[in-house]
Amino acid sequence: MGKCPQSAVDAKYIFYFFNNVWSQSVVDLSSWLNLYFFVECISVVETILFFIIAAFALVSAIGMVLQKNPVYSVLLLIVTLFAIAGLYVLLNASFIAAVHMIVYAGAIMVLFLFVVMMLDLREDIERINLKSLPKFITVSAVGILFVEMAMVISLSFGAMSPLNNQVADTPAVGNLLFTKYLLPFEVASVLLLAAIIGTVIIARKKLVPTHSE
Amino acid sequence: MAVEYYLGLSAALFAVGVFGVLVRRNAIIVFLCIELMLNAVNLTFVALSNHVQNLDGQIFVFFVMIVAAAEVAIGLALVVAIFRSKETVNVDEISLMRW
Repeated sequence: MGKCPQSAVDAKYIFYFFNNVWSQSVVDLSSWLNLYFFVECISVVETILFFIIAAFALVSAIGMVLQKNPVYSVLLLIVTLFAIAGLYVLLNASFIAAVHMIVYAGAIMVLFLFVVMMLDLREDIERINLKSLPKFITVSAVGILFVEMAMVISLSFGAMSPLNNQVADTPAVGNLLFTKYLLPFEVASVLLLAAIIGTVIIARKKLVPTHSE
Repeated sequence: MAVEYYLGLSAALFAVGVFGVLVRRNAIIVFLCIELMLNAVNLTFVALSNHVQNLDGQIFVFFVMIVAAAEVAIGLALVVAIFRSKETVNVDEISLMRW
């Protein structure tokens, strides 16, 4: 397959997703793609997957911003996080995808849901009126921000080149985390301890002192 | 997929997050939009890490997630404390420090 461009995704992940076992009958990715998808290159599958997952992410993000009910917003952000984890897998970052799902969708969003349901917020806490002038100025300012970012990105098309060829699997990430970035790793644990202590102190009920003391 | 598409999607998600922070009046929705902005930046890091074939971007994403978790914990504790004293999470009504 000389004309097929090299894909960034390790092919075996997509194999494992569609076949449950690495079957001996179809060992070549191009023949498997010919059989199931009638395409010649895996980068076509990667492109289609990217656009589907990116559409999910964008639509659910915009829906999250425009929802009135905070529980629906949290659930739509969870859908966005799922989509971003799928993009991480497409970018050959499987360890980061797993950590992302565990930390964000498994812990942070659950904490958000706990707080939303404990505070018992109602839907009528605000009415988004998208016709007023400050909202229009905000939308145009955010649109200008996005256009500026897109211009910066488009001006650097093809300007970046690969530095070295590093294997991006979990042992490599762990090796880097425990040798080169050991100090930030330990400092992060101290940061989490400080966050735990701070949360407990801020969110506890103040005990009312009795007059007998 | 070329890296510019990932960067463009990340810019779009960041812009949606900025819009949410500026427009919404509910403090918890503002926190959710801040988390969306952090995730857009994480996507930028991972996309560029894949493009320049350097694993340091993924390590940085790891630490950004740790800091985001700590920030969410303390931020939600603050929201709970404010709700206990003022019975509202509307950021327009939490204006004790406004001159």
